[in-house]
Amino acid sequence: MSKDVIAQIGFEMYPLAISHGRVSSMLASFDSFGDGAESARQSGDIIQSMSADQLSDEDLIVRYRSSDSDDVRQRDQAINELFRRNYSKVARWCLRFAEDRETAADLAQEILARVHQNLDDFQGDSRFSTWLFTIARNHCLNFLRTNSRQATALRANVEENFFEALPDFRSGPYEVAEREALAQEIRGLLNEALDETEKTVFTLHYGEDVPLESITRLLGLRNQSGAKAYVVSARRKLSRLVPRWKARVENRRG
Amino acid sequence: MGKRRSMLERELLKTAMARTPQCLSPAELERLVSMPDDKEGHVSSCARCQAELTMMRAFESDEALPGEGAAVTWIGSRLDKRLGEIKARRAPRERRKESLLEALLSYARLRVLVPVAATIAIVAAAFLLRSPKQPELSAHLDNTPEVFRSQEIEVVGPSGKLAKAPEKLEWETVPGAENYRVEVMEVDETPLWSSASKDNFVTIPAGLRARMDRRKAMLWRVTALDKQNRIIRSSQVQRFIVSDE
Repeated sequence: MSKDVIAQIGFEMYPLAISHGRVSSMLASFDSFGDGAESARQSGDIIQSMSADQLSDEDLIVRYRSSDSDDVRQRDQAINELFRRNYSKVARWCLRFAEDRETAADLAQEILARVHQNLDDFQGDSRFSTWLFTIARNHCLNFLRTNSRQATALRANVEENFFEALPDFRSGPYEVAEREALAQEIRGLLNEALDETEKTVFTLHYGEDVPLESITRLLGLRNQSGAKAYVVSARRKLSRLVPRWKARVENRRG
Repeated sequence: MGKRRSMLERELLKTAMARTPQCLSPAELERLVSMPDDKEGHVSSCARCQAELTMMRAFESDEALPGEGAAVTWIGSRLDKRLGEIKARRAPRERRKESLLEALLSYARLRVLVPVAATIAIVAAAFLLRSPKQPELSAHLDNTPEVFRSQEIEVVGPSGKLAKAPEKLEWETVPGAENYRVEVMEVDETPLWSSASKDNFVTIPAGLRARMDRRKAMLWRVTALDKQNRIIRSSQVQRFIVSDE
């Protein structure tokens, strides 16, 4: 049997363990095991026999899933360990988006409940922490969008005009194409004019509706006015470039 | 007019900053998290991907902001208290299986439950009408005092990831406590060490601290005892790990 076939058999049996190469180090030599399915079975046995704190996050999910449904203690240990080692990470993240620790704790609890509910959907295409990040990110951004006080703060920012006499792309027969072409131009403009932090602040604030104070905490900005300073400097740079940009756009339109 | 133009700009900015087909997925971006200067072709020119990468790095970073440490510990402790509640929200798949079963049983259940509920209501009403005094409520069915969540011991630390092995385990003083019993355990709750203290802390012996240096997660909890050695309060189990990451 070729190594590819052996690896495939192993992958189908224990996709998480093998795709992430944690316990798979024990499977490094397929030749010594002689049979891929057998080696994969052995890796499962190894995962079951190791203590929870020795396992990677992904291996804990393997244990959680492959434990006999009657073995509640084994399953509980795996999921408890997985959650406990990620408490701080989730807590820190939520504190960046919430105004007080109680709200942050509620957000963190909702995120972990969502993780628990969707654990069966984790395919192992990425690390567990990346999957957790995706859930935490979406949950907190949704929280900001629906939080009324934050929304008020955002509405105040809507009054800013960056591009002065912008053509109204919403009217006329080519609105979709026009809009996409303008968006493309703006992407190029931002890339050309702004430094990395300004781009990130700009994208989070105007693209994802994240309030400036959250961006300050999220990026760990230590300057006095935090993210606001970056928005101000970005606007200044853009306002210098906009006349040139508009001339370019108008030239192209003939 | 000005407001309309602002909305137009806002919409356009959103379009410009939305995901494009060239943008990297989180699984693709994760490879770049630990490589600060390494940006792939698309990422180097995409503000959106750069912002995603920055957020991912912020999430993965163990660095707490000034003044954030205590809140992180508090949230961790509260999550631990509510772990059962978090896990009680079952997976949709399990719920779907149950709802199918429930649908099948609902008709039969209704036929049985409605008469039973009616009978219980009649018996209860008759009983309440016949007994004029309030029933006596007993908080404890046995001699062991019950520990309520609001009566838990607040832990000061350690908890979470630590840069070095802690020297002591510390908690808030409990009024009326004569003694405290402290237990340190493996993550599977195998006991490693226990001690008693009259103060609101215990010093960890050198032998145990040496074991903590091996990047091994440990659990601990403290129990407050009164003069008769009865439990008055307990803390939630705390988890910590010494890590040089």
